[in-house]
Formats: sequence, C-alpha cells, structure tokens
Amino acid sequence: MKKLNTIFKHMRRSPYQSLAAIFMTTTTFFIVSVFALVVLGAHSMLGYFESRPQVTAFFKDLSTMTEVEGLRSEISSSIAVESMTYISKDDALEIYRKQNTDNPLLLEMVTADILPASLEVSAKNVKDLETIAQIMQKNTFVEEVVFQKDVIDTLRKWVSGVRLAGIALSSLLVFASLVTIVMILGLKFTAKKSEINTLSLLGATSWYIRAPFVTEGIIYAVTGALVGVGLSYLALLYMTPNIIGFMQDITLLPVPLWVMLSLLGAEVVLACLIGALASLIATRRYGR
Amino acid sequence: MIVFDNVTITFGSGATALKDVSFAIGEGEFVIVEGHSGAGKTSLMRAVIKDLALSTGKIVIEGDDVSKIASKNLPLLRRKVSVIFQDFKILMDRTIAENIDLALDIIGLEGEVIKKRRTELLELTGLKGKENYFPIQLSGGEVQRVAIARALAPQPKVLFADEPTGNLDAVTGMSIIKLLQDVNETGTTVIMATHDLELVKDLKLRRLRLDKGKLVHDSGAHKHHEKAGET
Repeated sequence: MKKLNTIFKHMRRSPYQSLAAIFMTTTTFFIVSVFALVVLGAHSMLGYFESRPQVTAFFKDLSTMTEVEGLRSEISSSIAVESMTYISKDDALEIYRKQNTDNPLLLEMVTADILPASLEVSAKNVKDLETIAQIMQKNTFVEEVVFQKDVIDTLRKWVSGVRLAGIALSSLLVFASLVTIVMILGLKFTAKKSEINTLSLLGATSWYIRAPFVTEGIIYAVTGALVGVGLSYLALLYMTPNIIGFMQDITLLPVPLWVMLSLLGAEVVLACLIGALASLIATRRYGR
Repeated sequence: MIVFDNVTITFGSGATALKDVSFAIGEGEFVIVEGHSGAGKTSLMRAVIKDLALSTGKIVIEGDDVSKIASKNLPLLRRKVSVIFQDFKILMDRTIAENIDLALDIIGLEGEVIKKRRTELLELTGLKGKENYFPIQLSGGEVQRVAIARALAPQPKVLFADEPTGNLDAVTGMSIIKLLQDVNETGTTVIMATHDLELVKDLKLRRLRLDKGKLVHDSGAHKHHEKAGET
C-alpha cells in the first residue's frame, strides 16, 4: 500500500504527463470498445437475418391452397428445411397491423385483399437457399421470390470490412498508447536517474528499481481501459433509443451484462499487457 | 577478507586511477585510506562494489572474485559492502526515516521490523527525534550520520566511508570517526578514505596511502604478511 501511495505521489508530481498517458489509453480503449460493440451488433444482425425465413414466395391472388401444398411438398422432399410457414392474406394483414400500430392512417388504407399470401422457407443450410428459390420461381402461381442471400452476403462483407478497419485502427492506437507510455515513463526514468543509481549502489535489485515504473505503466493503461469501456457504454446507452428505432425487429439491445463484463475483462488484460510491456521497454531502453 | 591483487584501473581517456595496487584487509579491521584528491581513493571504493571495471588484476571479497560476480548477484555484494558516499547520495525529497527505511526495504524487511531497525540505527547515529526531518533541515554532520545510518541498514560486513569528514569541522569530523569506531567495535570491517591527514594523524589505525593511483605506504602490510605466514 505504501508503495502504491508512492507511485500515486509520483504521478501527481507530473500531472500533465500522467494525463497524457491516460488520455491516450482512454482514446484507444474507447475506440476498441466501440468497434467491438459494432462488430458484436453486426454479428447479431447477421444471426437475425440467417435465422429469418430466408426465401419468401409471394403468391398471385388466384393461387389455390392445393398449389401451395404442392409447392411445400416439393420443397420438403428435395431440401432439408428448417421451417416452412404459410402466411395467408389475413395473417399478412395482422403482421402489417402490428408493425404499424402507431400509424392509424396506414392501417385504414390497407385491407387483407391487397396483401399477398406468402410462403416463408428457412433452410438448414444457407447453400440450399438458391435451390429453394429456383423451385419457387418455376411455378406460375408464384408472383415474386424474395431471396435474402444477397442481403446476408452484403452484410457479411460489411461486417468483415468493419472488423478489419477496427483491427487496423485499434492496432494503430494500441501502438500509439504503447509509444506514449514508453516515452512518458522513459522521461520519468531519466529524471530519476540519480535516485535509481543510488538505489542500485544500495543493493537494490533490477526488479526493485523497475517495479514502480511497471506498476505506473499498468495503472495508466488500466485506467484508460476502465474509462474507455465506461465511456463507450455511456455512449451506447445514450444512443440506445435511436438504435432501437433504426433496427426495428432486430433485437440488439440491451447488450447483456456478461458481454460488457467480458469486454471489460478482455480490455483490462490487454491494458495490463500494454502497460507492462511499455514500462519494461522504457526501463530497459532508458536504464542503459 | 578483502584482497586487492595488482589492481589497475585505466579510463578510456588513458588516465590511470589505480596502478598495480595490492593489499589485504582482514575481518574486523579499521583501515584508513589516505591520499590527496585524485589519489584514487574513490576509484578504489567504486572498484570494491563493482561500480568501476578493473583493467587488470583482481579484487577478492570473502573468496569471491568481484569481476566475476554476475549482474544479478551485484545487489548481494553491495549489501555486504556498504558505502558512505562522499556526496552522501541522500534522497533530498524524503525524510530521514524514509531514507533509512528505503535501505531496509531494499533488503526485503517489512513493517514493524523496519521500524525497529530504524529506531536502532537512529539511536546508534544520534539522530533520534529527527526522523521526520528532511535532509535540508539538518547540519552537514547530521546528514553524514544519516548516510552512515543508511549504510549500516543492511548490516554489512564491510563499511566503506568515502571522505566522511570531508566537509565537516574538526570536532564534528572526530565525532563521525568515533561513530565509525563504534561501528567497527561491533565487528564490521571499516575502511575510511580521507584526504585530511591532520584529522587522522593521531589515530592508531592501519593506514594505506595512495598517491597518483599507486599504493605508496601500508602500515599494516608487515602484520598481514606475518599473519599469512602463520596460517
């Protein structure tokens, strides 16, 4: 405890250097957290689309239940189907009403007659979607086939791009944080050269001399991680109403507590590594 | 206990700090290393704690060749051979107690043990009651006592005092020498380097005289040779 107090005293003696280190690490971990949350959200979105009926056939008004049943049998006999749901015109109206409860004008204008009946098919294997779509399209009583594979592919590319950009930017910021801590601790180490020399002459081990600097480096990085994750969580809470409004049916929020705690844990571990590595580099580099 | 065997230290600039210096100091001795400024007293001290590399020769302390001590074991040597530095090397931003505690913390002592040992050291050096003072609030003689207290913290086998009376008046200087004699009486080998020949002229102690890096006189060499012959 006494040693920690001494370290905090040293930090207070050079407040701007300490603030610079904490500001840099906070920025880093804020950006890392934001990208982590965006990628996690995007994965949830992917999961949502992948679990939804992936191919939907909308039927012409004159189509009969016999034709629909025939199509169902044909699909289930040739493809491993996860689920297959027939949405009648009345069901479609019910869904439409639920989606537009807060817009009475839209509800008044729409009746079951103008909504098409449909068949929503979800395959066990995404690769089978195309075959299902082809079976549907060859039937004349099918008006239109909505095929979500393209949406998922686009989303996958987008997620992959975001992940790559996140990794690149995070790596750059982690490196910047590392260099910042190395420089700041290096300056402090150099300023204490005389004291360090005295400690060495008094019989202090190398670790005894370096330990306070390593602890200080870890404190900078861990403080940055805690503040960074905290700020990203606050930003998420602030934006929650907008995100919910934008995503509609896709349930992304609230982010489960275990996800936030896991993110915090992972970033604290990363912070410890950054702080320890930076301070070891600094004490080795400037201790020569 | 300490053996200098043809020790020569030459700096990169070509200047020679010590030249073919050989002597032996036994356990529990009090030896004065005298010589004018630049005679090589501080270099001799720095060589003992491996703060200065030898060009040739060797220094053996309790059977260990100092040159061959690995860096990781250097702290153990520096706890065995404590040094009171000419410039004190007291940490000015810490109190007397904190300066002494630091030396005790370095050797791995903790809490109450540190407190107890600090009290003993303050009593021994006559600094009791001044533990919360900062070095700047003390006189030169008192700061020298702090340096002695700190050097004694690890209970060294050898205490090397480099010019401990350098900046002190004669009376204070003598009180420091008396303190070092007290330390010597507890069994610690004491080596005191000084350029103040007048101050130590009446002391009946073994003297090593250095001049321009050479050992020109050793008042105890005869005795040591005799002892070596007996064993």
